[in-house]
Amino acid sequence: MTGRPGARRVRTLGMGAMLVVLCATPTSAHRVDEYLQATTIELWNDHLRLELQLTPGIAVATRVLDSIDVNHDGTISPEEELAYAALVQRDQSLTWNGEPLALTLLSSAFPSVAELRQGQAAIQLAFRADVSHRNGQQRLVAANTHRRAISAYLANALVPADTRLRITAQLRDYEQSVYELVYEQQSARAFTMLAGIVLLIFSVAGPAWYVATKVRRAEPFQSALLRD
Amino acid sequence: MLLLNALDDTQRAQAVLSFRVADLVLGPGKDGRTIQPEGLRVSTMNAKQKALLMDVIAEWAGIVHQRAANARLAELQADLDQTWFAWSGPTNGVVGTNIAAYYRIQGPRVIIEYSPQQMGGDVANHIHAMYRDPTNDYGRKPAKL
Repeated sequence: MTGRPGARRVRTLGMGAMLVVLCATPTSAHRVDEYLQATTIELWNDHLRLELQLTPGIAVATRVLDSIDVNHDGTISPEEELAYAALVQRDQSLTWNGEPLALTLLSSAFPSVAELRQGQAAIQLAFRADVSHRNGQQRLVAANTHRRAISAYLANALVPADTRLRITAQLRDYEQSVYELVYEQQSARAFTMLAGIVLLIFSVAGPAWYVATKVRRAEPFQSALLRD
Repeated sequence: MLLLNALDDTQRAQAVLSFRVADLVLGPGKDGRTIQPEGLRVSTMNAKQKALLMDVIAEWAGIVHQRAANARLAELQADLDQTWFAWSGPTNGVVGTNIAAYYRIQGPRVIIEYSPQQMGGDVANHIHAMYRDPTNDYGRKPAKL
């Protein structure tokens, strides 16, 4: 790439991730009077991962902390972390094609009480739910009603890394408390059968081609032998 | 607002989301993640609408050295038909004033979010915005020499 070194550095910076906060108040200012709960769903062929990022605004942080640091000692113990994760989990509802799904807590990460009080830190929870292999259209409905009176919700799905899955529709209520995801699933069996057929074709065609090329190369030599 | 006002009723119905987007979806710490796109697919826009969209994109992608900006904007222009535009919130803003709505522009090599923040007072006066190249988050892709 041609250009001055300065331009190259600027280009790299320009093409990288950039967060720009345009406001009249200091850049540390964040959401004040709402408890932001962002749900991200990651679909896989036999399970899904549901991640929750929970950020209490500074004006509601004390109310949220009251339900986390239940002994009010200024720290969040591992037991209090698990208890709060269970509280959040209780307020999640997940159905798959109308059937309720059970969530299993995979991980949790809590900032300090001081960070939460400042309204700038997020609690991270990750859950897993198992689903069956099934061909065709699937419908997942996720509802979050945790601390509804003080909360703002976000709900999204990641583009599936598994190419057997294709999201076809996303529906939400106005508050994004209820999130419906419709997707197409190609079963593992169908995918395996297709791969098997392709493999069979190549396993037959490959040697056949090899033999054919060997015969063609041998023909001029054989003709020469016959003449002699 | 110029872009939103340039859409016809059918396009507008697709672009304007029926739900509230309260904050950035792919802000800090979300590198390496791509959400399912939604809203209006830019391939359904006419040339004038696409030009207006590129004007918006240029507000972020164009704030670098001109040669770099030209190259970057050319990339994003080439991706337009695989890009999506989504809007959430008030649609009656006045052109030339701060808007109080959220919008997102999402393509193979760009994600832009504009998110007014609930801080008390006029939300249009406190904006969080984000610009990413999901194929080069935090400049991880080596620059060509």
